[in-house]
Amino acid sequence: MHLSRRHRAATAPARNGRADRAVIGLRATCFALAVASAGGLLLIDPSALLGAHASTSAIPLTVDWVEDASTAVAFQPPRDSTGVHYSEFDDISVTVSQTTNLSDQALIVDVAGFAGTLEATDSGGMYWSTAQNFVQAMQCWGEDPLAADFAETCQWGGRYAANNGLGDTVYGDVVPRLATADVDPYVGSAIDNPFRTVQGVTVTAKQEFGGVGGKELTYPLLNYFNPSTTNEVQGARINSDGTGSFLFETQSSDQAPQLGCGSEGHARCWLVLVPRGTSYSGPTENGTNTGCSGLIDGKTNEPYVYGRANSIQAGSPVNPQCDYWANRINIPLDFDPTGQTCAVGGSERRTIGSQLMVGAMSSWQSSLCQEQDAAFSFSSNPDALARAQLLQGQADAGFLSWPLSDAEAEYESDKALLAATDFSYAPVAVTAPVIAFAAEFANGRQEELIVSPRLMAKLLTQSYSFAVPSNSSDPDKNFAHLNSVNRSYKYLNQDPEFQRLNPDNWREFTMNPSISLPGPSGADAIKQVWRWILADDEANAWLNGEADEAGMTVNPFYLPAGHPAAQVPVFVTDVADPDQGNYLLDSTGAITMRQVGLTNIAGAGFSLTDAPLQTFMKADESLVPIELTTEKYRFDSLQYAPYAESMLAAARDTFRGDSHSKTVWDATRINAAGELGDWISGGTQIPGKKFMIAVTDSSSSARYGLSNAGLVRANSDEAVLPTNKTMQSALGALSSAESATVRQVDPSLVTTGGYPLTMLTYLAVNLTASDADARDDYAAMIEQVTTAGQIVGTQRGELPLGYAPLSDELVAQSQAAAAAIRAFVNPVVTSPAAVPLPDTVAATTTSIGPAQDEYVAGETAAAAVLPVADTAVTGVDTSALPAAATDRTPELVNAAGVGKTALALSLGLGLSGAVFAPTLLRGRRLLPL
Amino acid sequence: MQKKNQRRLGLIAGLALVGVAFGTIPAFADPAAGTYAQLSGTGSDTTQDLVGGLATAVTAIGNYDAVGTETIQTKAGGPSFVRPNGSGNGVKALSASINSTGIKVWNGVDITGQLDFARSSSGPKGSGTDLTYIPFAKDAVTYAVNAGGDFPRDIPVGSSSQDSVSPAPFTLRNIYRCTVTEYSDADFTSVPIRALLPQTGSGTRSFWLSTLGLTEDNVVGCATDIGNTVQEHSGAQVTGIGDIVPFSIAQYLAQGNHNTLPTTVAERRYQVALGSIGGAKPVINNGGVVELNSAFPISRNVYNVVATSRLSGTSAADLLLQATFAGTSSTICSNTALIKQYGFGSAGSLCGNTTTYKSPYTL
Repeated sequence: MHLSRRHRAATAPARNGRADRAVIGLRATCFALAVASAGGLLLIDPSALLGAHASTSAIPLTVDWVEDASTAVAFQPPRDSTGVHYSEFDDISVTVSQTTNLSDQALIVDVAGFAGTLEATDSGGMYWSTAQNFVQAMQCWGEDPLAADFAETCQWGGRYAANNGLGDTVYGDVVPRLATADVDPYVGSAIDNPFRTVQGVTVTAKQEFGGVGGKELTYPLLNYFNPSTTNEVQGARINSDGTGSFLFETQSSDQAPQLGCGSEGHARCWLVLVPRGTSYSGPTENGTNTGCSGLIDGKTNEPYVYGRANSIQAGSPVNPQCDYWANRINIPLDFDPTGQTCAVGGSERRTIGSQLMVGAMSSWQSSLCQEQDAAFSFSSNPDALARAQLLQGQADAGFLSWPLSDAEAEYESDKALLAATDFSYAPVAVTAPVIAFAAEFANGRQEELIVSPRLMAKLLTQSYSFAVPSNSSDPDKNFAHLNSVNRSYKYLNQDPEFQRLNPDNWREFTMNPSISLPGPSGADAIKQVWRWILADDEANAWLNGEADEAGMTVNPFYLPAGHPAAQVPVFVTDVADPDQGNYLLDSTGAITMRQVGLTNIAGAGFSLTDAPLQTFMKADESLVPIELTTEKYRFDSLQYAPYAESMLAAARDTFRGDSHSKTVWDATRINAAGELGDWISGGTQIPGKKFMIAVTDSSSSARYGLSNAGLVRANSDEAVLPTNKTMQSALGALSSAESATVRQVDPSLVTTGGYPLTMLTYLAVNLTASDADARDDYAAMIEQVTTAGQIVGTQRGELPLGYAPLSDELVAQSQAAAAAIRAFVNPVVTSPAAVPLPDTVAATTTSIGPAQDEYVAGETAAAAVLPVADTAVTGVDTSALPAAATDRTPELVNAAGVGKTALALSLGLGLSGAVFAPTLLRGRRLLPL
Repeated sequence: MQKKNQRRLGLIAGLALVGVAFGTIPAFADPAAGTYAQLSGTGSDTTQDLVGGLATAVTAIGNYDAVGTETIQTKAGGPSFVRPNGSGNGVKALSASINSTGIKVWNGVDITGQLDFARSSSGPKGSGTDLTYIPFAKDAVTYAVNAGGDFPRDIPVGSSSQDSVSPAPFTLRNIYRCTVTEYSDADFTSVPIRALLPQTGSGTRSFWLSTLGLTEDNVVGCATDIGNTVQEHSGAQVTGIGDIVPFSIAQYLAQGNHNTLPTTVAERRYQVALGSIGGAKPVINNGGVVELNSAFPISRNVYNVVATSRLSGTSAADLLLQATFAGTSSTICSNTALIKQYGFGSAGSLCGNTTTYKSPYTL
C-alpha cells in the first residue's frame, strides 16, 4: 500500500512539471494576445473557451443517425430509407461529452445536422413552443438496446402530473408512455406500455382509480420517478442553423434505484435520443388513430393520419402505437460502481469546512478509504463556522481558505485558546468560485457571457428592476426607489455596460436572469467574489453611490445608512385605507421618504466597500404587491429570490431552471398558518426560456454542465474564463499579506491570463486537540490527495473537473505539512505552565504566548531547528515538551520561495520529517513585509 | 342506455322549445333566487353570456356569472360559497366539488357535489385525465385599444425568433414583454404604452400569454392587471390612449347585440376599438350581419369542463350531463344558431368531443 502510494507520488511532480510549462506557454500566449488586442478589446484565451466545460480525460462520443462509424454502431436500429422521417434525420449526428466513469452529473449533448425548432398552434387554439424539430432524451437500463421490449426499461412518463414544468412547450400527450385515451382508466382500454424496474417490478403506464369513491386517479409510475426526480427531456430545442446543445442529467443507482445504473453487475445503461421532425409518425399499422395521439386536424376535425406533413409532433416517443421509437439513437453510458466502497469498521476521520471541496472530496473519499486505514467523512459548512469548530476542537480537520485569526475570534477566551493551540495548514486544492449560467432562448443556448466587477456588483445589489420584488399588479411603483436610468432597463441586455462587455451576443439575452446565490450563511469563496469586485476602481466607486457612465446607480438599500441617497418612498400599506397602494404624502403633498441603508451591529452605517463580506445580502426591503386586492399579504426579496442552500444546490437549481421564487398568488391554497391563500411558485423555467445565473464553484458548475462567465480582471479590459490554466496562472498572485503560511490569491494582484477568483484551499488540522492516530491519518490523507489526488481525471480518487492541480511548490508545502503533522508531539498534558522549560529551547524563547509572538528571523531561527530535531530523532518521549518548544521554530516554508529549497535541503541532509515539522505549524503568525 | 339517452334528449329539447316559445325565461344573469337547475356551472367570463343564453334553451343548466354577488348557492339546501371568477377558478371549484380526496374545500367551504361543470375559455393544463374539457364553440381573441387614440390598429403577433432583433419590431409579443414601450401618434408624438392583462386566473389572460409565447414570469414588471382590477371583456380600464388589452371578439359582438339576445348581456365595452392582427380583421360583415371572422389567426376552442368519471356514469344525473354536453348531438351542440348570436363560431364536428382534451384536478 505504501509502496503504491510512493510510486504515485513520484509520478505526480513530472505531470505538474508539464502543467507548469503549459502555464508558462499560456501566459506567453495571453500576453501576446493582450498586446495584440489594443485598448478596450476583451481577451479570451481561445483554448480556455474550448475547455470551458470539456473534460481533459472524458472522451466525447459522436454518433451519426445513419451510416454511423462510431464504436456505438452496433447499438443503432436499422434506418428505413423510404420512411417518412429519413430525409429529415439523415444528416443528424449527436455528440455526448462523456460516456464512461459516470456518476450523478450532467452530460452535454450536442446535436448537428437537424433543422430549427418550430412553434405551432393546434386546432383548438393551444400554442406549443416546441412543436416540430426537437430532440427527446431518456435513460434506459435494458441489456440490449435493440430488443423489442427495450422501451420498457426507459425512464419516461414521470412528468405526467399537474405541475410538470413543461408549460406550453411540447404537445400534452408526448409526456406519458401511452396516448391519453389509453392512460384514462374510464376508457378501460387493455393497451399498456409498462415501465420495468431493474429489480423486475412492472409498473403500469395507465392511471388507476383511487381516492374517495374512486374519483381520485392515481398514476403509479410517480412512485418511481416524478417531475422533481426524473431526468427525461421532453423537448430539447434546435437552433435555426440545425445545431443544438442541451444538458442531460445522468442518474446512478444512488439517485435512481429503479434504473440501477452502476450497481453491481450493472455498470452499463443507455442514453436514448429520439429526434422528432415534422411528419406525424402514428398510428403504426397495428395501432389506431387515438392509440398514438388524439390530436385533431383543424381542417378535417379528424385525428392526424400517418405521415401527415407539417404536423405538431404529438404522441409519446416510447408508445409502440407511434413509430418515433424506430428513429432513436442509443448511446452506451458506463457508470462508476455505486454503493459502499469503504469497508465497514475502520476508524472514521471527520473533516468539515469549505464548500469548494465538495467535488474533490466526493472523488477522493472512496479511494482514500481503500488506500488508508481510515474513512474520511466530509460535511461542508461555512468556513467561518469551520474555523470556530476547529478552534473548539469539535473537529480535528477542516478545509479553509483563510486561517484562523485573532480578528475573527469573538471572545477573549477564543483569542486565548487560539494562542494556545497549534494548527497546521496544508494546501490541497486549487479551484475557484465561478459565475455560472444557463441561458437558452429562442435561438438556442448561449455559452458566452462576460461579467465585469461592476456588472456583478449591480447584480448582487438588486439594482436592476428585475431583481427587485415585483409582480404584475403594478408596473411602476414596484421599482420607484431605483433611479430612472435603472428603471429604464427592463432587461439586463439594455444596460450599455452589458452590451459593451458582450458585443457579439448581447442581443440574444432576451430574458432577465434569475439569480441563485448561496446563503444566507457565509463562505470564504463568497468573500473572494467581493474581493474581486472591490479591487476594481469602477465597481468600488459605483458601490459608493456614484453613477456609471449611463447614469445607473446602486439600489439605495445597499448604500451605507446616512448616505444622502439612501432613502426610498413610503407607500400606504393599510388595506383599510382608501389610498392603499399609493405613495404616502406629507402635508405639502410631497412623497414621504424613509431613510434606509446598511448598518453594522453598532447601528452605524457601513459601506460594502469597507471590507469584503463573506455573505450575499438581500437588503432590498420592498414588499409587493404594493396594493393588496385579492392577495392577503405581501412578499419580500427573500421569497422573490430565495437563497440556494449551497453552491452545489445553486448549480443544480440553475441546471434545472428552478429559482424557487414564489410570486404567484393562489387564493385557494392554504398557507403555513392554516389560512386561505398563499404565494406559490410559477414553476421552473421551460426549454427555450431559460436564463439563470448562479454563484457556485467551478466543480459544481462542471458537474451540471453550466457555462461559466468570463470575468474581467479588476481595473483591466481582459476577461478570463475559469480553466485549469487560468487558475494555475492566478497562483502567481498568491499573497502572504494576511498570513505567511496560509497564502491566498489576491484578486487585485492577478495578472494577464489569471482567473481572478482563483482560491487555494487548505486542510487545517488542529494539532493540539487531535490525538496521534488522527494526526497520522490526516497526514496520510494529505500525502495522498496532494499526489495521486492531483491527477486530473474522472476516475475515483483523481482530481475532478473544476480543479487545477497544485503546483510543485504547493505540493512540497503540503508534503512538508503532512510530515509535520505526523511528527507533532502534543506538549500539553495537563498544565503546560507547570512543566519546566528545557534550556535549549528556553534560550530561543523571548516571550510566552506561543504562536502569537513576533516572527523570529534569521539566526535565531536556525538555532531553533536543531534542538527540536534532536529530541524528535532520538526518540525521546517529548510529551512533556512545553508548547513553546514546538512553537518557537520559524517558518522557513512559509517565507515564499524558501519552502521548496528548505524541503529539498532537508531531504538532502537525510533529516527526518520531524525537522521541518514545526515549520508548518505557524498558521496565524503575520510575516512582517 | 343509448336509447334512453336519446329519449331523454328529446324530452329536454321539447321542454326547451316550450320555454323559448312562451318567452318566460327570466333575463337574470344567475338562476333566479331560490331556483336551482340540475347542472350548475361557474367559471369563465368569456362564455358566461353564451352559456347563459344556452341555458334558456337547455333548462337543465344553471349558469352562474363570473362576477356578481360575492357568494352563490347552486343547490337547494346547499352551502353558500365564494363565486368563482374566471376559467382557472371555475375549474378549481369544480375540482373541489368533485372532492376526490374527501378533504378539498373551496375558499374554506366544503362544496362537494355543488357544481357539475365549469366554463373554460382556455384548454387543459398539465397532464392527467381527471377532468374532460368538452369543446362546444370557437372564440377568437384580439386586442382592444382606446377608440380615441392613435394606437396602431393592425399589429402582428410576433415571435420569439425576433426577440434578439434590434430595434424591436412593433409586435404584440414585444409590447407585452416591454421591448416596445411606445408608439408614435399622428403628430409623431411618442405615446407610452400600458399593456394590460385581465385578472389572474382568467382564461383570456392565460390564452393571450400563451399565444404570444410568454409566461407569467416574462411579463412581471411590464404588463399589469392594475392590482387585479382589469376584468375580462370589459373596457373600463382602457382609459388612456396608450392602453391595450386582450379582448374576446365573441364577447365584443355579444355585448353589441345585447338588445336582441334572450338573456341580459352587460354592455361594458366602454370606449374600446378592436385591432386587426397581421391584416386579418376581427369581424366581418356577412350580408349585413357582423360576425366573427372565422379565419382570424388567433382563435380558440371554448369548453365546458366536467368530471371524466361522470362521462361513463349511469346515474340519472350523469346521463343528463352526458346528454347535455357529450357528442355532436348533445343539446348544447344542437344550438348552433344561438352560439352564433352570441358572437361565437361553430366548433363543427369537434363539438362535444370527450376524448381529446383532459387535465388533472387543479386544487
